Amino acid sequence: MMLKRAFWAVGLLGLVPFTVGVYLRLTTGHEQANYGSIVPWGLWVAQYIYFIGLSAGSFLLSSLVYVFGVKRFEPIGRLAVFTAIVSLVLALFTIWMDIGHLERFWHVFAYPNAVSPMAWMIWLYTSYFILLLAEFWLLMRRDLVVARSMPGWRGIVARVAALGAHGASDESLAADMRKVRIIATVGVPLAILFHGGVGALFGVLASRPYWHSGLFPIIFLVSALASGGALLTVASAIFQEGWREHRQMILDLGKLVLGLLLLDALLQFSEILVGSYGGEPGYVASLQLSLAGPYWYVFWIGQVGIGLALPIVILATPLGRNPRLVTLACGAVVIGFIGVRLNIVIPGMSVEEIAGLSRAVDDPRYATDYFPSAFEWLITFGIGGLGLILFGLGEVFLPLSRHLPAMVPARANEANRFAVPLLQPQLVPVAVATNRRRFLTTAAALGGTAVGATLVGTAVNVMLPQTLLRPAQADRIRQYGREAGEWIPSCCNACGGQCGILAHVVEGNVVKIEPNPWNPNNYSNISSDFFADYSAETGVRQGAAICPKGNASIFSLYDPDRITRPMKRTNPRKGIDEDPGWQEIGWDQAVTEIADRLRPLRESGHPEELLWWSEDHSFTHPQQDFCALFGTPNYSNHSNLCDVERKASFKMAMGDERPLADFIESKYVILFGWNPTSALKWIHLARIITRFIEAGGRLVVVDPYLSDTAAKGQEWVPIRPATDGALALAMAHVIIRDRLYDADFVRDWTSGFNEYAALVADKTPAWAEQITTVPAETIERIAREFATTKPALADSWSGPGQHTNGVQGGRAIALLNALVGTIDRPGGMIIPDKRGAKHASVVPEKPIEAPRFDGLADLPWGHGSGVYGRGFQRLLDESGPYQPKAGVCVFQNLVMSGPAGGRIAEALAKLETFVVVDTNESETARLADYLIPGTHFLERYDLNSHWVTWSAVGLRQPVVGATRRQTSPWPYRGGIFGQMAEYEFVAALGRQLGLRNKDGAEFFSVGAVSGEPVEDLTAWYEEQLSNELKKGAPGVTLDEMKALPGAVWVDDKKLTAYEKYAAPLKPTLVVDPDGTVYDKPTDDSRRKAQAIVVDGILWTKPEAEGGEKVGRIIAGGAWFTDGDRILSGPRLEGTKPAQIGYAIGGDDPRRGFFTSTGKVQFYNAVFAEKNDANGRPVDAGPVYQPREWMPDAEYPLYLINWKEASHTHTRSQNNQLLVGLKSSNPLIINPATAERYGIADGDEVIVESPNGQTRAVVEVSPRMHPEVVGLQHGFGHRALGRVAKGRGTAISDLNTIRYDPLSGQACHKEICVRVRKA
Amino acid sequence: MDLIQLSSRRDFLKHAAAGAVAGAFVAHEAVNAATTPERKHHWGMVIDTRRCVGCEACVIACKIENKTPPGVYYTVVTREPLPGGGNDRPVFMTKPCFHCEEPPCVPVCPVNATYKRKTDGIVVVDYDRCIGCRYCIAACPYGARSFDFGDDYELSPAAGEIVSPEYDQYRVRTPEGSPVGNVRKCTFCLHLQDENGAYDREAGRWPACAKTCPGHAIHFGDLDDPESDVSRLLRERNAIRLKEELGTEPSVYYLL
Repeated sequence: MMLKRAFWAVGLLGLVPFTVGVYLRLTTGHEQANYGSIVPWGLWVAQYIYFIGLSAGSFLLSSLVYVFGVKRFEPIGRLAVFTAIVSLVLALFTIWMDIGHLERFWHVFAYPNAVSPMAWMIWLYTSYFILLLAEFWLLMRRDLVVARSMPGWRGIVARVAALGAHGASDESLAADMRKVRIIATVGVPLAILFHGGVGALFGVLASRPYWHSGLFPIIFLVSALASGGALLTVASAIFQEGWREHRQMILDLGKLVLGLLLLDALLQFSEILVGSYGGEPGYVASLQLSLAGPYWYVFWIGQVGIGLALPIVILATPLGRNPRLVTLACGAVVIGFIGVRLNIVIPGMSVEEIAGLSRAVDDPRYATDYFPSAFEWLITFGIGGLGLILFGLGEVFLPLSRHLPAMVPARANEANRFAVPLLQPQLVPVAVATNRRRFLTTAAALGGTAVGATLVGTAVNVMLPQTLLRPAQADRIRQYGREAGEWIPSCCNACGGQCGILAHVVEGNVVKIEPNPWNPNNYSNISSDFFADYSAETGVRQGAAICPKGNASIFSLYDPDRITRPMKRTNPRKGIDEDPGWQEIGWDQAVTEIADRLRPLRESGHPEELLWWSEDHSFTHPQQDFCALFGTPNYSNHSNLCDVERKASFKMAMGDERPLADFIESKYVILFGWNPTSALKWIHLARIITRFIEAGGRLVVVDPYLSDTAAKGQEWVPIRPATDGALALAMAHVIIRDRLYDADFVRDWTSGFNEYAALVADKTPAWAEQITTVPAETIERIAREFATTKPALADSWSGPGQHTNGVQGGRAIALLNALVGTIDRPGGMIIPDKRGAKHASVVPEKPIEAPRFDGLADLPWGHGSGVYGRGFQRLLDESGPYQPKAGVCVFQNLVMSGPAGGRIAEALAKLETFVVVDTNESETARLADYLIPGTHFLERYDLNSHWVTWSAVGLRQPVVGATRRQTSPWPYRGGIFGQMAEYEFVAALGRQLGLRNKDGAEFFSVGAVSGEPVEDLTAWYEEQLSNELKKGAPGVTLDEMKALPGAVWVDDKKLTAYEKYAAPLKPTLVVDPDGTVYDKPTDDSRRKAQAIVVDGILWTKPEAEGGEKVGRIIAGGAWFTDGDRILSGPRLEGTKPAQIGYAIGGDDPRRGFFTSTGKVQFYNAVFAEKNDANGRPVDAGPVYQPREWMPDAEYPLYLINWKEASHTHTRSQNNQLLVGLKSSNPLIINPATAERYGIADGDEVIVESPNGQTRAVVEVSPRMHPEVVGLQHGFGHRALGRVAKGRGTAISDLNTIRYDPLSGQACHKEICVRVRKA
Repeated sequence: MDLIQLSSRRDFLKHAAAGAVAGAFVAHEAVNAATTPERKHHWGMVIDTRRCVGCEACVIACKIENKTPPGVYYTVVTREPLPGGGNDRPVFMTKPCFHCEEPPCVPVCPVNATYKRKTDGIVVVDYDRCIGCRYCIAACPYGARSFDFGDDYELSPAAGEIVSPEYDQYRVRTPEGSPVGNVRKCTFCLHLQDENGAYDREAGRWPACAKTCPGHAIHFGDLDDPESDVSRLLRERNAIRLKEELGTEPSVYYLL
């Protein structure tokens, strides 16, 4: 009784999860399930085959009674059939829950596929189900007829279930039994086919080696019998008090189960043995998962321990003579088989079909690991409970155990109600009763419907060619298709690469972004390569490209975390984790209040107390103009966080700060610390680099990390960070020692070679090996390959650069190109044509006199973008020439982007007024007093001069705009929320402050082209752009630009030019016979006298009158000169003429290099006259100095970081699509290093430096140099949005505010750490 | 009812059944001959792994083109090292559906919801017929199929309703509607075909992954057309297909 009570209790409790689970299934579908696309079947499928097995097993055992007449098991005959029915119901219910569309279950009949094992299974279980019901009804019929007269529910149930049958005679019973025998006989092959078919369903799949075995159907059958027999034993022991009343039967059943169990074990063993010796990797992997995977206990404890060992110990020993123990053993089998089923389904799928599939994207649906979710368990337990209830109801309402006596006493005693001897059916032939016919009609109707539907479905499927049920929707194609809406050409700004895009806008929404094939930036940086495939009609025929960030930028445009309205801080306390207490305000209030807080700076005569930070490639000109007119010298932008050391390196070497590598024409490329095919700043890099390799070129990548670019190269040279310069010097040593350099180029176009040769004379490969860890032989070989494979180039980027020794190291790398003579030559480092749109700088009312706050002028190779690091340090320490009071930061996240972000935050918190313009609430924005919503690049204008070697300009234009207005004092078009674009905001602020240029005009109110007042802020900016285009190389208006193919202007006349340094200069000055020098030809009325010539020297006026020498006659022409440098004009007070050429050898006017010697400078003593920011003299040659912060015993590891294709700096981590590609940034550690610190793959570690600590998850990989750890930059947000927050690791706070003393470059990569397991 | 009658009735049924089967077969052949469109194209891809830089632009372009939800990827890029390198140098490989000539996913479908189009060899899924049993996912040896769990991007772009161009049906994604609960897969962007089943690269009617590929690693075209890019590459270069031993005859080749 206790067992029964427990049984009912568990069963009824099971209805709770059942109800909840089914409710969730109906309302949320499969969303809460944990299986995915690699493991598409989970707990429920295992449960399904479990119940199916129980059903088939029970039924087959019942056939012992009804087919083979084994009398011993007669008492459990009806129970067995009932068990088969209940198990089947549970199985079908489970699988019904599992399919994606519950409501389409009928499709299996309507659209059957004759060759699908699943279809076979469906037909078989349908037939089987009908047969089971028929058999069971016949078995019960007589008792149901008898029970109709029972009082209460039992009688009612019986009356319903009897289906109108009457006739309770023994004859009718015998007739029933005859039918039963026929049906049961048919049922035997059906059950075998059915359950074997389920095995076949798995077995036929060659895609899953673990299942793909001919033994599978057989194992399924045997295991069905074993588990079904066990369940039957338990059921009869409990329901029929079997251990008391049918002791022998239970013992016999136990023996049967033992036999089946052993047979099953034998088959499984055979399967495992053959499979594992076969060694098919997929099979072995599944087996390993099953035996030693994370859920090893399911096999060892569940399947082997409970399901096999325990029952065998009981059943095969004298213990097996105790019916209670036999029941226990069989119960263990029933439970253990849950493990068997799980271990068939899950490990078979948990092995990825293609290596790396589960790691290809960061998506939980693409995991090989599977553990059922709570929701799945709910359904599972619920269905288990449902099973118990069904059994219980059967027990209560159906006289399963015994036949009822012909008549039921009016007041039957509960105890002796069934105390009637077993009825032995007599095989007496009788006529079929009408009631039976009715039943058969019902069964036939059910079966006939299924069969009919199947036949019709089959016929239809066979006869008709397959087409989609839903045809193409012509109206929707027109509404949403490719021809719907507009395709608007523009330029991407997901990063600073400015690739061309075509934005598909439908019903005011951007729905797709595609590459713009007219834009050279999307194809090639060399004009011949671009135009070889170009036509004005279609752009490049091979098609252009954009990267994942560009493709995904719709998600950032419509990011629900975007800021939509101006906000004002209410919390006076400032900190990254301090809630600003934003209060939404209108544009009127924002502009007025900000202007009111900036105005006093000007009025007090200290406009320099305004600091301004801006992004590099977006709307910079109005901001620069604003700063100039406001009177602050402190406009800074992104570059010094990025690559200004590279600029300085190349400028020192060759007088140009941005040469571009001509990969496509090169044959040998060495990249130092650059990851161009993955960082993908310009999308053409992927094409031109892979194409150069394809054409037989060799790519060598020098990097502490085997970057994704190194993966494309033939050779990866692992190097200790910041020692690239030493490697370059040693290469130079080899090249000079073995006289492999381009002697002609060195002689004609370089200076300081002898000093350089002396400098590298002792920089042997052995010397460099000590510094770089690169073996001397490797250095020797690479140097020789580099010098003898022509053309070759060496380039570098931020890897070696973002260190305190980055400039000279980069210079040593740059100079390798001079040694092999490939500067500005095909396949080398090309000096690009920088003509583009022209920004006419504004001239303020009064010149700015205050020095820059960051002391940029102290840096000998500083960059106009400023020195963020020094500025923040001074702001923090209050150690600058003055203490700034206000700051404006546009589209930058200083706190995440600078070294020592926490310190930067402290510095920014010191500003009395801090305004941030951004699309999202970044960490920096959380420190702001005013947060102004910015625009996404799809909402705004810009002009982009491109990363190609000849002139091209791309237009960025708004492709979407406001659907609703936000109020402002001035009209503007604005972005999708009705917010002002950055340039509109700056212009509005300028107007509010009444900023005027030196002519007294209100700059931000006057159209640049028309010269007339312009009220609309957008229109004002459009005139600015038009002006820049007109004055620049394109010479077109904005509207004309928009009409160009792809809205790109490409110069098809002045193509990529090589050896520009060797071009002879054409004189422009005209010397009249009287010796007067004019700037224009004789017939030009505007010409002015510039100088006079006396003895071949150009004088401003006669020497006697105090004239100055401003030039000389060279090669018969007049030139302004400074020494051998040829200048654009005379050096007069207040002017700074540009160098336009060089008198080579003193008498050959050539363009030359824009260095002080007119040549590539291996060495320049003039440099040593300058000091760096630390007061140390600049090295005249590219001397290797160790970086400032080197590893020590306490912090022994270098920590580096890099950029990959999946994300842009710290900006893109709130983009769900990109996070799907890469959701975090594991810290990569070399296996040897990991072992030394006892760290394993996937461990969480603490990364510590003297400045702080952070946590990271480790990925162990030989791709990392053993002395180095590193990760992708950009993760570890504490703000920005709901997706980005708390994802991955930021390392900025491990650093100090650190900048390079020559260029001002922020040194993000100069960190030393120790790592320990968290 | 006597025995003779019975037997003749049985005979009649037997003959009728035999006749019906024969008739059905003949009819099937006839209808097939009349209605089965000819194979016009054999669309396929030749993916140059030397050109693939592993940037995954194809993955995102595909997601945006087909408006797929999280957890549904029609192509992914694997980055597994080849054995023996010692330094785990990854080999990048984009992996769309291979549109096998003998697709293992097709015969297993219990309801004929997935099939190979006779005209051009593209393997498609009928969203209105698919019951979501996921047998085809289990059967695909290449992991090319995903189940649409009904997951949506939590912070899904607020730009109107999400309309997928798949199969030119332009379904609006709703929580309860197809393709939620269906199996989904790469279609070679067949919605970009014209009425004759052809693509037009210059008009941008080209599979989204191939259209955006920065390395130009994904060549797409008609394998039956000897003049196509893909056919030429297969002639000139050495290509492999994955798991040839399964006899699936993929229509996607890799150049190593």
